[in-house]
Amino acid sequence: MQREDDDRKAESAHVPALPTLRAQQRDIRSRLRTGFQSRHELLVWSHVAAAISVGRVPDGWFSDLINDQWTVAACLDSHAKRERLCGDTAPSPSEARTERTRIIQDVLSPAFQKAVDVIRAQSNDFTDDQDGVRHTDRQRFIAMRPRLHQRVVDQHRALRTPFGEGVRSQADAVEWADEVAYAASGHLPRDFTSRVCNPMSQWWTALANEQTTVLDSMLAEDVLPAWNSALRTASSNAEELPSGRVASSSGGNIS
Amino acid sequence: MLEVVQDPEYLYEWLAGLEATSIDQTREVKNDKRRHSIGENLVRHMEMTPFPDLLERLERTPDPVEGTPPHSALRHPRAMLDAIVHTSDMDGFRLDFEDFSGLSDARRGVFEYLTDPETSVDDSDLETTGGSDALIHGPMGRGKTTSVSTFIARWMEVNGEAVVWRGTPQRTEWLPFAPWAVVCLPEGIEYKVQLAPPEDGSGFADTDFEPIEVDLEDIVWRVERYSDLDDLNNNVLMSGAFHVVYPDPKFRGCERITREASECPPLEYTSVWESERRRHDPELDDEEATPTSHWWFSWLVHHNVNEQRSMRTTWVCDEASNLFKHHASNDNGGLSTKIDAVSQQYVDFRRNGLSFVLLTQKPREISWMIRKKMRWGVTLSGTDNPTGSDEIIGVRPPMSTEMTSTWKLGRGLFWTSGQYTEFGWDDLPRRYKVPGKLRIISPEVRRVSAK
Repeated sequence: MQREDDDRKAESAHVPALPTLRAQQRDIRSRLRTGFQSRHELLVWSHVAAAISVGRVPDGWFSDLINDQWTVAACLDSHAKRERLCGDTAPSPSEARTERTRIIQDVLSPAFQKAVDVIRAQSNDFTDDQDGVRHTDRQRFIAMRPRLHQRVVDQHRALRTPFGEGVRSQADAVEWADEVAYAASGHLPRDFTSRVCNPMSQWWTALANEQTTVLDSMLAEDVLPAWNSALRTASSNAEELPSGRVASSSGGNIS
Repeated sequence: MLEVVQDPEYLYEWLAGLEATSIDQTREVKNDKRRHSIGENLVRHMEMTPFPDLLERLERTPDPVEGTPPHSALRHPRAMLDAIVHTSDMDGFRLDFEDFSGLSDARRGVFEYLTDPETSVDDSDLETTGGSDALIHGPMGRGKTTSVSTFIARWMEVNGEAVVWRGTPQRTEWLPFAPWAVVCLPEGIEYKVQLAPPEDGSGFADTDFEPIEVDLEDIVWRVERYSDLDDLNNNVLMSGAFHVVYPDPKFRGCERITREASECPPLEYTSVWESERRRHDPELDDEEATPTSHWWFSWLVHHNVNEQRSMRTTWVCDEASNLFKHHASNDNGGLSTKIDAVSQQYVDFRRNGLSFVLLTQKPREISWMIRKKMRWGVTLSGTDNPTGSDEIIGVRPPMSTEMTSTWKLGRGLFWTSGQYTEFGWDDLPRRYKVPGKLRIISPEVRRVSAK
């Protein structure tokens, strides 16, 4: 009876952890192979890829991806769209496939492998069961880390805001910038909010006029790298300590 | 010099001269929220950094593995910070509305840190509401007492909670905190207080000094008497203060409490007087006297029964394996049943704001019934930290390699499910480290027991 209860509880609240992470990684690769409708969709996908890699993609990758017309074109889902973006120099279907494969090989695979290694090292030690360790193979948070999961949710919300109802006023801009900074857990410059809200700034102009392309570009340049670092920090759980065995240091004095 | 520290008269003068300056001006004594707390007073005298400043320092301290700030104590906040900062449901509202009025400077500073978006730890990172626990283990001489003293000062400073140290006749490791100590003794029992200098150890018996009798009131902040469990927990224990409680050999209120508690077997107690009476009364069966230390089981259960007062309390139990014996049987005063009872009540302790701190040299000598309920482990240097599937407490140790055995004195590892962090602490200021022992003994109990 107890066992039945346990099983039921596990099924209702949890999904398998490492297999789920791998499935999510497969899905990310498959999305890239299929192609995207727009540059903005590519940007949102790159953020999800960063989350699934628990922040292990290179910080500079977002800008390389989004701010290079040819690469963006290679990731779009139709040749007509590629031509609209790059004209005569648009990548051919075969060039587009090659470029996407390169992204998978050079960027995603190493990052995803690192993420799996990091998680596998101590996968049994993460649980959201408050009463001790049970169902260690079933978890409901990304990479079994509730804190990381929460950061991703915060980031995703902040990423959607300027493209949905938009940022209509200075007050909206302050709120949005604070959300972005909060989701970056201290990895953005301290003056980020004041930069965004300065009416003379490129940020403010892009936000107020809903210039999607400019916003995508700036998010990839400034914000996504900071979020990626924040995810890395949030996921750098105990598993990172054993890999570099902690010698007796003098830090962390609580006196 | 050695002869001086072995002179009990000199030690008495030393102890009596120690002062907790301005303790009578604190917010708890004056009932004035604008004043410093007893915990803040203690931290200042122990020359410790105020906790909000410590958090700032940890933000700038490089992580031992990553090599960049912040320190692992903040990167993995559930490992240690969650066990130090105790919050209630009310604190949840304070944090939501960022209204910290009425809190002590230290607690307000911690809450401001947690709500500051630019700091590494968010209040949602601290997942525990109510009390916490810690099983502190390490070999003799590796700083169990000084580390727990540091934690006690932090619990008092940050949480403004009552700390209760389990008083025993022979051990007075709490002596550095004597000027802050409220010693609670059972009413109607006579006590003899002796100060014994440290043993010479040179092998020459004539260099040893005899213990002298001293007045407890000269040494500690306050001496209080309690009539029973209700009186102790509702009237005597003081929020924010450090207490050393000596158990009542008459077990007043102990059986009644366990009958009132839900999901708790009725615990039985026989005092030495009752046992003596039965021995001389042919009408009555003989009953072995219950060891006085068993009083603590009912004291713990009282926290889940008490409807009059709910006060955040941390209980510190030195030499925990003496109380929660691993292979306890029911031959000796129903010890096994009592340990089971506490184990069953354990989850509610946390909910009722009672934190549970056990100190031991060997964790496996403590009953698994208790250990399996605990969520935080503290491994001090000089012993192997548990790894992988080691069953030390109720969560699996997240460490995959052994680290602590070669660490320096004054270093340790605080760990819980999935997270751990190194930490360190300084020795207590020299003047508070009075050598020797204070023995608080009831001659009457000894006399009756001896019969």
